[in-house]
Amino acid sequence: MIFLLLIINQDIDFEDLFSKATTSLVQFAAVKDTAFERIIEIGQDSLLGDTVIDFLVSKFDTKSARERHGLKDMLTKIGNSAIAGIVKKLDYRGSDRASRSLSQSLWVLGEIGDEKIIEHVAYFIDDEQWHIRSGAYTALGKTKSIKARPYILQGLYDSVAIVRKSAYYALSSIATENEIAHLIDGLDDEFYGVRYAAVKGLLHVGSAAREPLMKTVTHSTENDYFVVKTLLQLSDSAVVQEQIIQYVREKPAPIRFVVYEECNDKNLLRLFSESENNLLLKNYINRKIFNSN
Amino acid sequence: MFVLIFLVSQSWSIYLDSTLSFIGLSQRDITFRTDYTQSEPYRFSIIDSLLHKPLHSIRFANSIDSAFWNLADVDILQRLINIYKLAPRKEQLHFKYGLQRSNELIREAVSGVPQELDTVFENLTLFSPQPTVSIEEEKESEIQYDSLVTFLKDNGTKVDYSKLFTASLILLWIAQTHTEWPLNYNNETMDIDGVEGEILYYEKCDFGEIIIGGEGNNIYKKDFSIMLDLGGDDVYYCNRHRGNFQILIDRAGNDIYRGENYSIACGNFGVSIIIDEAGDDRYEAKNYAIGCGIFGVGVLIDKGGNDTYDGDTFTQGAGGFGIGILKDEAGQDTYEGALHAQGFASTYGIGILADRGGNDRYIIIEKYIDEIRYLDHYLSLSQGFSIGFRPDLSAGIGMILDRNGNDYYLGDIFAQGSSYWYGFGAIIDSKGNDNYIAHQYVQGAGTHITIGLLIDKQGDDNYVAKGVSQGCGHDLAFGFLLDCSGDDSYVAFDLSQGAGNANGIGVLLDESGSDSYSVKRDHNTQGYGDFRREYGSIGVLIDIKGEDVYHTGTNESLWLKGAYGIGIDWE
Repeated sequence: MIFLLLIINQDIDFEDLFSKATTSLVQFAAVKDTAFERIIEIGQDSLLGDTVIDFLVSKFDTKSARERHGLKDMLTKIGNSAIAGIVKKLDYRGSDRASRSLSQSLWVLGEIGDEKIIEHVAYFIDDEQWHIRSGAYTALGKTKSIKARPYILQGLYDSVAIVRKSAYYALSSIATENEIAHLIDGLDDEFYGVRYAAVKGLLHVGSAAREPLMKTVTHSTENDYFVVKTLLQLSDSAVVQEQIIQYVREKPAPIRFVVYEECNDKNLLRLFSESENNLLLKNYINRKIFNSN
Repeated sequence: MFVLIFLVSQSWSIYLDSTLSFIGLSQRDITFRTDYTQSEPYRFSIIDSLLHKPLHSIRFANSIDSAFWNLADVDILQRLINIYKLAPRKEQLHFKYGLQRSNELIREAVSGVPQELDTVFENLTLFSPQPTVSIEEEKESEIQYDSLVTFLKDNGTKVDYSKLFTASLILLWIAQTHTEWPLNYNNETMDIDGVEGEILYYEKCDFGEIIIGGEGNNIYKKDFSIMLDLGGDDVYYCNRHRGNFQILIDRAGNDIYRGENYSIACGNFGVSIIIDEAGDDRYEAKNYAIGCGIFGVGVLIDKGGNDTYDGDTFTQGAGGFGIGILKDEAGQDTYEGALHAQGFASTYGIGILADRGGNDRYIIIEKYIDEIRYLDHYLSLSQGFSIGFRPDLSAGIGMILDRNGNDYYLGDIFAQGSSYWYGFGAIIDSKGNDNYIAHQYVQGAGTHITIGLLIDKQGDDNYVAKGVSQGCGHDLAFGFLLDCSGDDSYVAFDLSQGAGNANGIGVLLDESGSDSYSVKRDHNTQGYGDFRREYGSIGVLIDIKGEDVYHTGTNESLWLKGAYGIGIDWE
């Protein structure tokens, strides 16, 4: 078998194929596409797949953003069969190159997004480098697996905002009632990436989040903005709508705007328009009514 | 002045804050981390500060602008040197002692520099106008590029910039005080090799030669360390000065300055200063010339007349591992270059083109094809632009400061208040009805962890671009176009006019006037932010006052686009 592989390999110049598949020169776009498809074809081949995957993984330390994106696209297209080849090189560290390689590994594993990656990736959620931790949480999130949840929860209070964002976003697709308190905490985070991810998570949880959210409505515009935004997307009953109208009258313009933005009931919008004194917001409501006709 | 700037910035700042509140954000959210890569010794601390608080870049740019129009030239240079956080301070030394001292400082500053550093910049920044013919050639070029950048990174610190900058401050002070030079000469003339015309004084010193030309027309076929010409229409053939200094003062006449590479106020491992006091002058050179600092300081000050500046690459206020200044005090001037020109900075460099008055033309010709993106567009990398060597070396600070006049800016790819990779590129145009025409990554555009800024304070202006323009931040970068007044026209195709992409932040803010906003693609322009890396980019279009026309909105209206994109016409 090894002898056979050697014979077949002799006809394929991986370096050349890779150069062509990642060229930045626009005049060679057709060559690029052909080379890219050829790499995928070989990568999915039962005999040569491992060889080409090892080759691609050996390129993970590249400084070139173009090559990094190319590698991600190739291995994502090759799919689950690439996981083993990436994982076996996942643990080497100690230099900038190795660090770049690890970031790339986490990114590609996340893009493949299979449950098989969870244990391997979770190893890095405590890494000293924030971008490695962030990459690990992102990869875990992309599995959309409940098996990743215990690991993801560890990142919700990381000291680095981008890491928290990755953890919250990872949680947002698999959150349950048990995580509502964490998600509500996220609505108040200093980083807007976390705030918006928390909204997404609460919407994923659904109606169970409504009551806890109602209890958190404060007099702070910033906090209320995201609480109200979430509540409105969770609520469609007439009772809630009535509550909203009462609520809106007392709130500053950005909060009122959230209400108008989320409201699709024409009758309610007309009521809002009549009571709204801010011309900017009034025009917004009227335009929304007009567009819905 | 500073109080006025503060008040002006406050007025739009309130509107920006109010606008952001409609998408649950505030100015605190306009921020970036700076540690996506390891820092290196060549990144200015101000770049990290501005990336952390990008809105402060307006104040920073205004402070540089204010310095150029209110301080003496030597104090302007001091202000720029302060950005390096090094020790040099202005020294006012007696003429010959100052020259001797500068000579020693420069020698010491470059004594440990390997010879190969002379050519590394050429190999990295001189492009071929011919397209790459094969993928193999591209690959070889990438390998060579990587090796050169590594060499530059390892050896760039071998220049003692503190000594070099101290010398530049001494020499500029001496140049500024040329009417007080203690040189006695009368009307007796002499013959000096390499010079045609009337020569009134010549002396050979330890540090070089001093020459004084008379009021007639002279032709200088060779360079001298200290050149003073009292008048006449002169011709100067300028050469490379490496590892030393030159001061050239021309007091009057319509002069021609001709040079090849590394000439006409090019500080190259040294200092070169030209001050032309009057006349319609012409400056012609190729690369690394006309107010250029490469491992050095180059200062060209032209105080009057309608002048023409003609160069190719790294020219007209360009700095890399040093400072390049081109300051034109008056007249209707034409600036023409091809690449890395007109307020351009590379790594550890500051490049400023400052023009006080007149209707000026800033032209970047189509010479170096942008083969990565287009078959029919050309790289400019110019006009208030800065670029580093991604991912290894940060960019610097490149600016055009135009104080007055109806100006015309023409570029193509990467130009007009733009930057790439941990840098700062800006145009501040204070007065006049201006035209800005370019294609992509232009007009207040930041690309890849960096800041691009275009501030136009007065006049009815036209902005024409294709995309990634007019207040656009791409990939964790900040792009800001601030137009303070006038009836303006904005025309773009896509990803422009307050657009954030790949976690960038883009703001187009027009304070007053009746304006027109035109785009081709509605979905990613005029207040648009896309969703990337699990969170949104921020794109903001704000028009505070005036009767305006939009593709998307109307007067006194508010709209949302993309993840965190918002447009508001306030009044």
